[in-house]
Amino acid sequence: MGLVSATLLRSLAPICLLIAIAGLVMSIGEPYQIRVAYIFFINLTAVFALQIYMGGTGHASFGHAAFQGIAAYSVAILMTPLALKRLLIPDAPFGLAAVHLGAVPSILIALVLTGVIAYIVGLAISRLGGVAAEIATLAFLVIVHVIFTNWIELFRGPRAFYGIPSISNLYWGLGAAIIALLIAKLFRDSPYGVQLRAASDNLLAARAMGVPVERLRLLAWTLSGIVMGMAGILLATYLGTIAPSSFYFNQTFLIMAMLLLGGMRSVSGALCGTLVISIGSELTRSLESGPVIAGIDLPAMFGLTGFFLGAIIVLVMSFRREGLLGGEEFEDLFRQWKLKRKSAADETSADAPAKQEA
Amino acid sequence: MVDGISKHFGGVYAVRDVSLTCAVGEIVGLIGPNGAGKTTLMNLISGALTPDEGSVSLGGVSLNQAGLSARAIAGIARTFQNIRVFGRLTARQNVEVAHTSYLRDRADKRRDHSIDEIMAMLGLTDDAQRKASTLPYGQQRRLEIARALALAPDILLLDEPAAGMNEQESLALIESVQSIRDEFGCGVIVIDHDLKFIMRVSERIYVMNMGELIASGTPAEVRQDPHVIEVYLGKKASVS
Repeated sequence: MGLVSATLLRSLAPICLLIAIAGLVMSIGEPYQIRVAYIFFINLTAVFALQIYMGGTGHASFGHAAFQGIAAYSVAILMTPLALKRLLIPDAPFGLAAVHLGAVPSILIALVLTGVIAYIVGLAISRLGGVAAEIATLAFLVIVHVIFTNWIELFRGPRAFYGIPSISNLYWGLGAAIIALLIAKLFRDSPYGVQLRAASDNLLAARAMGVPVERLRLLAWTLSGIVMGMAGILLATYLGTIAPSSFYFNQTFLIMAMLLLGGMRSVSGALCGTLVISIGSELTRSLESGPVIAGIDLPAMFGLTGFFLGAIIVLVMSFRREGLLGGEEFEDLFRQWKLKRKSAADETSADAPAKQEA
Repeated sequence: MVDGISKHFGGVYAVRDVSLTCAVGEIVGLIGPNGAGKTTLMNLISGALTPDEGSVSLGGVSLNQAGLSARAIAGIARTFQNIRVFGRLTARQNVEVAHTSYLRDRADKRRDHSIDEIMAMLGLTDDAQRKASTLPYGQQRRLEIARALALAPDILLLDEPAAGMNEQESLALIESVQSIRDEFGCGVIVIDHDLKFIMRVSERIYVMNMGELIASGTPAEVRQDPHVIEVYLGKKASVS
């Protein structure tokens, strides 16, 4: 069976789960639930993107939210109606104040631009290993944030960029999440993905096996940057409003907590972590305002969601560094479970004649 | 071919002016007591270390500018003294890592052994889907060899392949090394400090001590060499 068909087959279960979530939410039809589900799909796309790089290289990346921002601002600048842009960014450079494109070309340009920037930045980051690479990604995030907040003519600085046509809906989110899942799984199982994981396991041995480590890191970084760009486009074209703060530390820690909780080494782990934290965040958010539960008037606990995310990262790092799924895919866990059952059954059948003789 | 290679750390020479050759289809042994510089020499040949002096070439082509990865592609594959399998990957994926490099980057794909054939040859078929970290020690050693063979090397460097093995396993390994040479047509350089193992498996032997070559020749010649007896075995010892 070829790589693509095998990946499609192995992805059927998680894809069905995502479709079921979307179907359930649409059948309820409440705008709040739809919004929560849409944000879940955006974050899921972002976490799959992060998994491509972190799962392959074993390096943490603090910089991926920047790609989300680059793609989001790109579509915002290209898609926003001219009349509004004259108001928002009248002095935009390169004549961008007078440019207005449709959704498809805007999205394509945003993805290509994000990919090109990811490639250029990746040329430096892919040559680094360990902590140096991680610090470099953090520096990249800060640099992009500084550009967003200080290049007022193009990005409006710290103020919100609003008026972006809200063209996407829950199905866009679902589609993007499924595409991101397939890309992440295809890359992970591809010969290059396997080589990259080998390098993260043992760098010296991987080099001795002819693995072009820097080239593969660059590939993973660029690919994950483009997929991250999809998440940014989803955000901009759903909310209609973006600001630099949407693509900074809060978003970085949110998607990182999601990935670490499930286990960064597997795509299934990314899905699990995103599900658990999305549900957990909704619960903690409902507690923040101080609700009355079973007659008990709870006090307001502002910042509980942030505390929850921080606690998740600390707990996972302390007690289960490989995450909930231990770096395994659903199908691997299922195969291991079947093997265990088979060996247990074999042992039972081997013991039976001995017991009869006794 | 290694020509006049030297490497020093600080003021101490780990390897000094060592030259050796290994022809395709030949099994060459490299012995010496602990600290003789055997593994440093292997690191210099494979490109894990850069020599201070001297050169390494393969088929007349200089590899001085090539790093570890480039030398692997050029045809020098190796195993490690301390096992370095990719523990999170399955045994088959371990071999696939090297096979991918071979298929992608090797200019002359003249040998055609599939991953499954290589694994079968090393007795790893039944363990193909097991995580490498869960394999027994002996199987991990075999997996390292299988992985190196997937590069279809011209020269295979085996760093203490018999370490931790009992007599019976060592004998089986000797057969494996000889059949690998016959099947793959590659030269094999075997490093070990187990003299019996090296004497049985090698056609030619180099002996190192304190970073320098002190003797070379057939096993019979080396066995009788007074330097080897004095420096490596002690004055009154002999090699059986």
